Amino acid sequence: MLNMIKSELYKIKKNKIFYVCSCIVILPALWVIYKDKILTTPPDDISNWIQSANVITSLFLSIASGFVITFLIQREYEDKTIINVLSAPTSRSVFIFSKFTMWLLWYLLLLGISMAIYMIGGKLIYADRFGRYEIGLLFQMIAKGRVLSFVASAPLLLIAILQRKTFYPSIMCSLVFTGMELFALMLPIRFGSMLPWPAAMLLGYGITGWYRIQAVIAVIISGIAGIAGACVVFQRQNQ
Amino acid sequence: MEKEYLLETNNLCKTYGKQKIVEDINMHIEKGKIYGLLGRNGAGKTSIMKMILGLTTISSGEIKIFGESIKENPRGIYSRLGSLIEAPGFYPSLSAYENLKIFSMLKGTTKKNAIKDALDLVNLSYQDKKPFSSYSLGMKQRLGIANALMNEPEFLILDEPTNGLDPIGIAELREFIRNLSEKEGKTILISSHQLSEMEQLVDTIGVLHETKLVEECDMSELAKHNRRYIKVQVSDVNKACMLMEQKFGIHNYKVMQSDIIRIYDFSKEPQAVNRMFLENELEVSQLGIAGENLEEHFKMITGGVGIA
Repeated sequence: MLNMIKSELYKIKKNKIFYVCSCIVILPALWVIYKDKILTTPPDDISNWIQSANVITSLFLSIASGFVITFLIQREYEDKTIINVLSAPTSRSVFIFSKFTMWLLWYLLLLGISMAIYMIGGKLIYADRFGRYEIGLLFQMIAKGRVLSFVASAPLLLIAILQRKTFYPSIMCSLVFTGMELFALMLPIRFGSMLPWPAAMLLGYGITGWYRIQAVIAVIISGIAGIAGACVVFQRQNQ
Repeated sequence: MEKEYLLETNNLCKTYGKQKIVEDINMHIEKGKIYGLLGRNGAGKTSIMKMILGLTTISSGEIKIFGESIKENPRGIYSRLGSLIEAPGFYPSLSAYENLKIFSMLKGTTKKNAIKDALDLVNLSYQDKKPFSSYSLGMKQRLGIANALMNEPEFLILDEPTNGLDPIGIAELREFIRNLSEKEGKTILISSHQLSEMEQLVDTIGVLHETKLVEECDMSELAKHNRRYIKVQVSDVNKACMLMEQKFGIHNYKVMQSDIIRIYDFSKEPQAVNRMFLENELEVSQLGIAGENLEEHFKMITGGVGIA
């Protein structure tokens, strides 16, 4: 597994898609800070500002994440490198877990960078008004919400394996998942907490009670189904 | 002396739904020999190689390599194999060195200079920064061979390795493979459409036809059994045939082209046949003894169907 991850990190160096997707996530965050500090007046209520930041992070991180996992898997089929990788030999489960790990590492890195940008930006914009409570709210909404969103989007891994050389099914699914997340607050909570993707967003907003439990279960099931499904399908897939 | 088989398959089958790709394949690859797998396009050669490498699931049957079933110790077995399957797959934006670096990490290759040595073997530059996407077909094929050899495998599986190579490249590869077998004792499984090349290279052949392995035999045994004939080129084939039947009672012959006859009956010496033709005012422009080649043998056992 370590060898596989080392080889993935080596490949990334010359891989433009990772840099492009990272820019897709970072630039909007920087733009928000620039806009609210220089161009316009920021909202007086800091929690509204944090909610906007959450929506923007959710939108761009989710979409870019779909491109990243699609690229990680699809290129191996397109370039037929999957044959050389598997006959190295590399176990099929190691292949899946190493791809998942790279996806997760990229996601966490970009999430961390986004969080850092908003924390620094919040301080710059709101100065002393941006304190511990606001940082805590930022962590809950963005960090917690996005990590749960990542878990909920694990089925993209299964879709990427199933689609082989094509790329649009997983991209379209990531757009659908993103849309469902963003519309989470418009859905009745009893429905929103049953679907993994809006559930992740609702958990970021701090829902409580039975709906919180339901939402956590939905996210976990989606995560397990995605990873386990990818392992099972790939194990049986003819190359 | 009992032969030592490095690879054995036992009733190996592959089906996709109701469609049989290969069935009841019982292959035996002797250690240190070169085994040529022959068959038309779609006969199942690549499918068999992929099943051996674990790239394709086995529908039924068993494969043993190094005396062990591949299901029992896959990592231990596959780390001793090298392969080139279909068109070589490498990362397009990376150079030859960078591509092999990635696969050496996956193979756990520890030998210093393994990548440089592998590239030198196939005459590719170690320091060339050109990306793989800009390589010619021949260069891509050579990089695939370098990758297969990088971890010094005991067993090499090569699926049509001469694809894309020019005639000199094919001859060089033939010598290279022959050296790997004779000097380094490697066991090699190779498939190819170029029967003339296989004939010069392999020690054993396995012929696939209509999902089955219809023949498996040593080339030395094949040479003994392949029919020899007297090949004669004459100015008037009809007259020549009539003379052979009337004067010598020879009926076991075949007219190949408008002026060439193959005489399978050796009751008369070639010199006697030549003399008889000359006495009857027939011009003989070619006379000699020849044997059926691999292509003809292939056609014979596949019911007249050629390799392409």
